Amino acid sequence: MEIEPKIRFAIEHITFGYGVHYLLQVLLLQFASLFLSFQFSKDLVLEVEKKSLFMIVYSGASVIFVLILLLFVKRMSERTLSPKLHRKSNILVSAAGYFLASGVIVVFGYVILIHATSRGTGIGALDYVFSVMLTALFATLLAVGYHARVVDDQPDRDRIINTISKWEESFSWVEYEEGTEGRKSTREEFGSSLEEISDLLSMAKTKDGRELKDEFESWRSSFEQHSQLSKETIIRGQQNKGNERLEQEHKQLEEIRDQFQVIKGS
Amino acid sequence: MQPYKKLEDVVPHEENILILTTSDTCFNYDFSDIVEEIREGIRGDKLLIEEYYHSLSDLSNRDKLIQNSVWVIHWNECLKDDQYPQLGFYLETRSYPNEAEVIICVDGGSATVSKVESEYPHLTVASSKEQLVAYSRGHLNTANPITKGGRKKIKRWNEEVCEDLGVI
Amino acid sequence: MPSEWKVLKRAVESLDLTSDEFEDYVMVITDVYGDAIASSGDFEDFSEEYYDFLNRKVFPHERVISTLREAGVSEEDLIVFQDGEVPCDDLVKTWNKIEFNIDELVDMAMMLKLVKDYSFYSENDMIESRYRFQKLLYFINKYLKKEESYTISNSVGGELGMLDRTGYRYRFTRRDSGPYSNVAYEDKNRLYAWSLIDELVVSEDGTGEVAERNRRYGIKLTPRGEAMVKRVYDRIEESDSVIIYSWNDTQNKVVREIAGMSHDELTNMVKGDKSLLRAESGDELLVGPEKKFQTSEINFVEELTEEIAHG
Repeated sequence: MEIEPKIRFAIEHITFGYGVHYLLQVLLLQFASLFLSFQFSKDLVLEVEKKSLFMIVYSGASVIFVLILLLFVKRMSERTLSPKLHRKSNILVSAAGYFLASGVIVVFGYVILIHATSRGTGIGALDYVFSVMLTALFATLLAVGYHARVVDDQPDRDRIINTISKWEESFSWVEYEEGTEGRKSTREEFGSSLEEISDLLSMAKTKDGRELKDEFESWRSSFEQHSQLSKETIIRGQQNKGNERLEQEHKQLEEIRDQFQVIKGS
Repeated sequence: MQPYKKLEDVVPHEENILILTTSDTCFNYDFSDIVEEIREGIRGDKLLIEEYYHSLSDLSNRDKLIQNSVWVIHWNECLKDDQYPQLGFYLETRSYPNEAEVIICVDGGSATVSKVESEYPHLTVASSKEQLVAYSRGHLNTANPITKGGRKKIKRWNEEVCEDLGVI
Repeated sequence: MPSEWKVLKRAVESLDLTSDEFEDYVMVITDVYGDAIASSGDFEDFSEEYYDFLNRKVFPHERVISTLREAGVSEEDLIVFQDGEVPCDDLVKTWNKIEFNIDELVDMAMMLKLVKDYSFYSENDMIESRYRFQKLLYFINKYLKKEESYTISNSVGGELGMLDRTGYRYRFTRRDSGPYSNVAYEDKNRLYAWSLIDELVVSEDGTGEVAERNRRYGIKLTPRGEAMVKRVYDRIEESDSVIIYSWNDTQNKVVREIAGMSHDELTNMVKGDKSLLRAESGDELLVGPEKKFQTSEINFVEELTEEIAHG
């Protein structure tokens, strides 16, 4: 993989294929809120008596924010058509990405609001826990904001699952006897589900999703030119040495189906 | 198989060549290489060719066999010692589409070739790779959608097979 | 008529080429043929127009002529190619004299007799549908299976009864419409192609049978078919061959039983068939005997061959 695609793929853990300006917009809002709080608060480092209680409250809140962050990141990942972004490890990377982006704001806030005003004196464990909570909160705000901006025009999860499931089920046409009603109807379903998969993939925004779309369309255009007998061979595969050209198309199909299985989450 | 409703539906068209063999080779060539040579001799870009290897243990599945417009049978491996009586039965009873071309490949001397020719007078016998390629091209360039006659021929073949399969 | 292109091959069969010369010729002419098809294959049918095309564009091609000349073909023979006067039509007719084996011939003769006998009992003077035609054939074989084969010495009949030695050679499988045989369907098509039977659209309601989903076809003998049956009818009825007698006798019984049935009654009879109830779609239901006769056993082979082969 070249450097540029790698960076692009890394960024897509946060942007999910949408423009990075959406992210910047939310980030800038958070900066704005940070500066506003600087303007209106006189003493930012609060003196509290029951530190242990606050410690528990901040920690608990952090955990809740992280859970919400994970939930939203997972929902966004699941609505992409990128098989890689559906993996659990990549979902964690996405969450970490949001955390990092928010961490920048908190560090920035620390530098100008605390270090610049008190030179870092009097900062204890509670302040660190508070910073973590604030980071989690900002990360969550960022993810929720991003979710609200970009997800509306993505296919919903049910549609993704149903379209893939219908396609998978329609492969059964090859199991029916020639001339039977079952074969005729499932073959027609197969034809229409190819169309639906195409429609679904046309909504892909991520690099991976678009690659899957290109892969699928290239396979499909070749597949549709074949006779029904060759189509069956491509779907079934061949036990022994057979037609290598069709075997190649069978392997492509299997790879595409594997990617759809990841997207479907089974 | 799906029926072609109109003559225009025939373009583009893919024909399958049925290969019945146990060794995947004939006249010391891989069948896939022979089919590639056949493919190279097909005129125009409206006819696609794919070979179809059917398991000899599943010969009763006639529905699959009849969807091939060219049958290439390795005589030494399939018919010589009546290894597959069902295949012999299909040939004797002409249980292949009228519009199909059945080519029996005989790897042997002229006496053997003559014997096979007299045994199957209604079929084509090829005694070399060159003949097999030439006969296949002869049939496939005839049933080639680049001509109107070819399109009609393909449609007729398609109708015959679809009727046999019970899809029309 | 399939495989018209083979006229290219047949055109040199009388020229006494060695196998190498023949191979060279075949390779050259199929190549020239391919080019001619691509550049000027303007024919629409495969009779006169097609032969004219071959005689204009293929046979007189210089590559073909030089290959034949190199093979030592006489100038007298070459001139036929050069002038484009290869008698394609005659060559086609000569090889199109199909030689059927004895079992195929007898099956088709019995099938014609079936149409004749059934039409006699039928109100419409025909077998009313392709569905009924298939089921008649099935039940004839089915009833033969039930008959004990004690009349045959050294019989290996057993479970197959008389069907081990006689009856239609067809293999019936289960379709949505019940028992069905592809080969029987093809043989019926051959009889139609040779103008021995006619198929008339009798209703716009299909029967659900293969190739009869949207329309119903009645099957009857043509005058030519009548004439042919006439020549073999008595030979079959009075045959002293036990296997012909048994087959014909069973066929007559089935005809009398089914001819009076309405379509629904026949459908019920089919649905009640035990083999059918046990079978899945595509399963084999009944297989007829593969080989039945020696030529010497049938005393009307010549008439049959003559009639059918020149059909």
